[in-house]
Amino acid sequence: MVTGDSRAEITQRLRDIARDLLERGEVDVFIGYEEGSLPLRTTPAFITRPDDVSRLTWGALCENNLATYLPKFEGRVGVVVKGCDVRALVNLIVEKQIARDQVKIVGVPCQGVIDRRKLAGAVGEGPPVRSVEETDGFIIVRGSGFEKTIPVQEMLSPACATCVHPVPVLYDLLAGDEARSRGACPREDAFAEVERFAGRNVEDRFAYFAREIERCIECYACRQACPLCYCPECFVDRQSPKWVGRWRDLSDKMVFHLGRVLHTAGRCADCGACRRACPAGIDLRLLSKQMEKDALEFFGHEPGTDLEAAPVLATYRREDPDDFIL
Amino acid sequence: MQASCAQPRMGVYVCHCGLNIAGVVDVEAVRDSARALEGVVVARDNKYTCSEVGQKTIADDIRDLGLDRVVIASCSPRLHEKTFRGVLEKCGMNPFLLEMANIREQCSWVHSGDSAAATEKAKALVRSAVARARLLSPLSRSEGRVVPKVMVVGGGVAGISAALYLGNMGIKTYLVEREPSIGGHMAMLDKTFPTLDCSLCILSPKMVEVAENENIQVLSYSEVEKVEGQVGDFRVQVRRRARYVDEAKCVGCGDCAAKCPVRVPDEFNRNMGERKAIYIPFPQAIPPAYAIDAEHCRYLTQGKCRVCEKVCERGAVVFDQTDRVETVEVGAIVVATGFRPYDASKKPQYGYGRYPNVITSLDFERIICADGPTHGKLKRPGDQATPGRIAFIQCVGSRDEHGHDGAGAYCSRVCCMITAKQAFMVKEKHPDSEVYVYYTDMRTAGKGFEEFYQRGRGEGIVFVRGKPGEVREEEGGSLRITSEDADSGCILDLSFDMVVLAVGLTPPEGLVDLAQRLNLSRSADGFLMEGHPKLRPFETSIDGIYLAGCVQFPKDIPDSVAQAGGAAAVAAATCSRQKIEMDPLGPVIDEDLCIGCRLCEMLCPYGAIKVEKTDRGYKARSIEVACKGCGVCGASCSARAITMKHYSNDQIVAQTRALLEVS
Repeated sequence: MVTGDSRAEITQRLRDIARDLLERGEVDVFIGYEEGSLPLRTTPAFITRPDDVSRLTWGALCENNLATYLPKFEGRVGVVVKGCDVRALVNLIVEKQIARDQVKIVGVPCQGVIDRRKLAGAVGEGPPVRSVEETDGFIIVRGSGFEKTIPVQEMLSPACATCVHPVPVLYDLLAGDEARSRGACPREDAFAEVERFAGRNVEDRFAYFAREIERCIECYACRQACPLCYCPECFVDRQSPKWVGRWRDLSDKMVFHLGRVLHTAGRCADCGACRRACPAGIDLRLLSKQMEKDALEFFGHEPGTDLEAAPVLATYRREDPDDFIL
Repeated sequence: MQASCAQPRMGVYVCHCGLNIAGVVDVEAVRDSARALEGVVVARDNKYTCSEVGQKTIADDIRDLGLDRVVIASCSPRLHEKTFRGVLEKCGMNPFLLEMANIREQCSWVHSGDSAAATEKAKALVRSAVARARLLSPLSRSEGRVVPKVMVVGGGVAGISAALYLGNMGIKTYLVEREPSIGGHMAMLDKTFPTLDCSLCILSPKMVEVAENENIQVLSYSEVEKVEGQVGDFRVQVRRRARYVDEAKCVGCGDCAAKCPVRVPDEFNRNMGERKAIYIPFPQAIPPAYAIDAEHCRYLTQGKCRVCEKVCERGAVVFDQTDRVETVEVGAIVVATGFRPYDASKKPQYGYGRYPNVITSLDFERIICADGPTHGKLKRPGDQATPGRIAFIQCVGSRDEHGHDGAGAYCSRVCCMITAKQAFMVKEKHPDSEVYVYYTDMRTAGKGFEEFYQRGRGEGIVFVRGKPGEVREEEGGSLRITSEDADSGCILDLSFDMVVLAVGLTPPEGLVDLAQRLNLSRSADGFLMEGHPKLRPFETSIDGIYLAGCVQFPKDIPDSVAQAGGAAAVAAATCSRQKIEMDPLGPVIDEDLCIGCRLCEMLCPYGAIKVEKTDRGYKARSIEVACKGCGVCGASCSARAITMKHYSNDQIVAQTRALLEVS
């Protein structure tokens, strides 16, 4: 197993970088992670004073995609990104939601983040977790009268398993050693899951989605968490014309989820934010992953890896394939 | 966006169009189903809604019944939308409160085999039109300026004629030509049928007239790069390729070419002779200035030489010229970019390009021309011997139903007469020679054409009905053709000294790109599509852009000149207008929703959207005069901030919903 820089080392480097950027006035705000008020949770930290950099932390629980916050800032921003986060950030630059020179990208060679649902399963039912300690490769959770040591590798988010770019494709500063990131998933394996799924028959696949999407409570947390869902008015909120009803009806839920997937097709780089945000635990990645695969296969486009690439589904080239059009 | 809260009062008019619609669709049933729709005050059927009577019925109803929406179910809006909008306007109604359902092109004509289903579809189309009409809003037209200038693209005989007609009307005209000289293919011809006038003798006075006409500016060695704007107000970017010779200073003395050390095949002589790297395509060229072929010039390719610069007494050679892009404002554009002769080497069975003595009809013109590589002596290219036996093969690249190898299924119209002329000229120069013409049909429709053809027959030219399968080369460079003579049923196996392939006319090089830049449609044969095959032969689908000559379809010189006259007339009519009223079809941008992603700006084919910085961030703004209402911005807007004025989402959704309702 590849061992990374220790999380303490990276934390220290992030703090140094943040202090440096803030002191030299290169950024107005630095966005990173800090410990949450509950164990097992980190929360975004918006640091504006050099003295506050000690709040910053790093670890396998730093799961949120901080690029989501960028379009909200006018000034210059420093932001901590993992390999997947930066691809959303690249998209935001391509889509003119943030200017390249407005943002200092602080990359972290990613070692994978923890899937809290998996972790909760591993901890099991019982008294609540009171504290958590993260050592290299392991997570130790403690509650009243129990302690469990769990290997991080077994708890990784499913998106991490298929991650092709654990080292950010674009950064100004890198906090950590590239060579010590989590090994990249070979591209040919990245879509194994969707390929397996696509191999099933149509009825099966539809039944699977119906079962998943049936559980949707239309809270739109996935949309809120998504770094690429920044429309001032989402199509599901439109009253005229009213594209989607709010009748807790499977077809309405389907329209929302299919709409969401299509609206992020060719843009989504599978950071997994939507899946993490979903309170119903719906498998929101499968369709998005299929879109990522299609974008690559049909148009040679890998979302969020090229600042110069035009939005793939909004543009047309004569050599674009059209044999998938019915 | 809704006009009023009150229930609109709608009138629906279902047209029989004689039997065009009524022959398939049960018009009365469609009328009755429309009558039952909400908001429909009156529904009628008319024999011809576009007729005087039909229009009066609508006008009367508007007045008597107080209609505020009119729905007409008839032909395509492309035909009569203007007519019916006019009716509304005359009655004091806003013309944009009209909606049309196309139950002819999109219903009766395509479903002639199934009346019942066609009737149901017509009902649905009317229902859908009524649903949209309910949501229509009154709109006002904006006015655009008219630049009273015209650009003619292409300087062949059609372009030259169009420019002269326009210039003589006092209209400032730019004549854009890709080559260093105007003249086109006509300048390459030796004689013209059926009168046997010397081609350049009748063309060059016209070329001189172009040069001398103060209203005409020739932009030679130039190409159209980009076109923006609309009828009355086009902005055309023209790339003026570096000629490396100052047109104003060059007097065409030829000292430069005499000293130029680089010899290249002369394309004007179909590569049969040579020219220098600094050259004038032919002595009568307009502008009468030399040009440097940058691909072959020794200085420009290898950095050493500049002999021409040294010998030019007038200092006309300027090596520091570069390509430059000029923007020209015009009110109308005439496209006259001509044709390209079919590439006969794509028919390997005839050996063009492999057998030196197989030539095309255009090669023949150069060989027989006094100014050509043989100075008018009939010599075959292989060994410069005078051919005593010559065969012509017709329809090479024309009337080819397989359409392989870039060949057209159409008849190129001019090749029969070209061959009749060329065969006649051979006989004239060498009465003893034997001339065979292998033809499919001899098509000689035109003033004096048939008489000319019969004269050729009288001179002993042998016309064989049959299309040879192949031409084989024999020792000594002669060529053997075995072919059936369909009239006698005999197989003819003959040897010739030279074979001339009568190549067809195909769309000119780069037409696909040009059409795209001008947003013009092409017909199935690849040529540009006219506005209407019978009634609008000079116009195109784009207002203000007109056609002349072979770019629309192969035609002979008189027809090209005639079309040029027509195109000049319509272009002049456009330029004589004081202002252009523009339909309000553009986008309305909701700046609260706009996220400044610039997608619309990037995709707009007309440069009609610009994103500007505002105090609330970047917002898209529409440039009304440049907009053509295509709707790309509305469809692409990821934030749904763009609504098309006359095709709002509400309207389209209502229309779609109504269409999908089960009746």
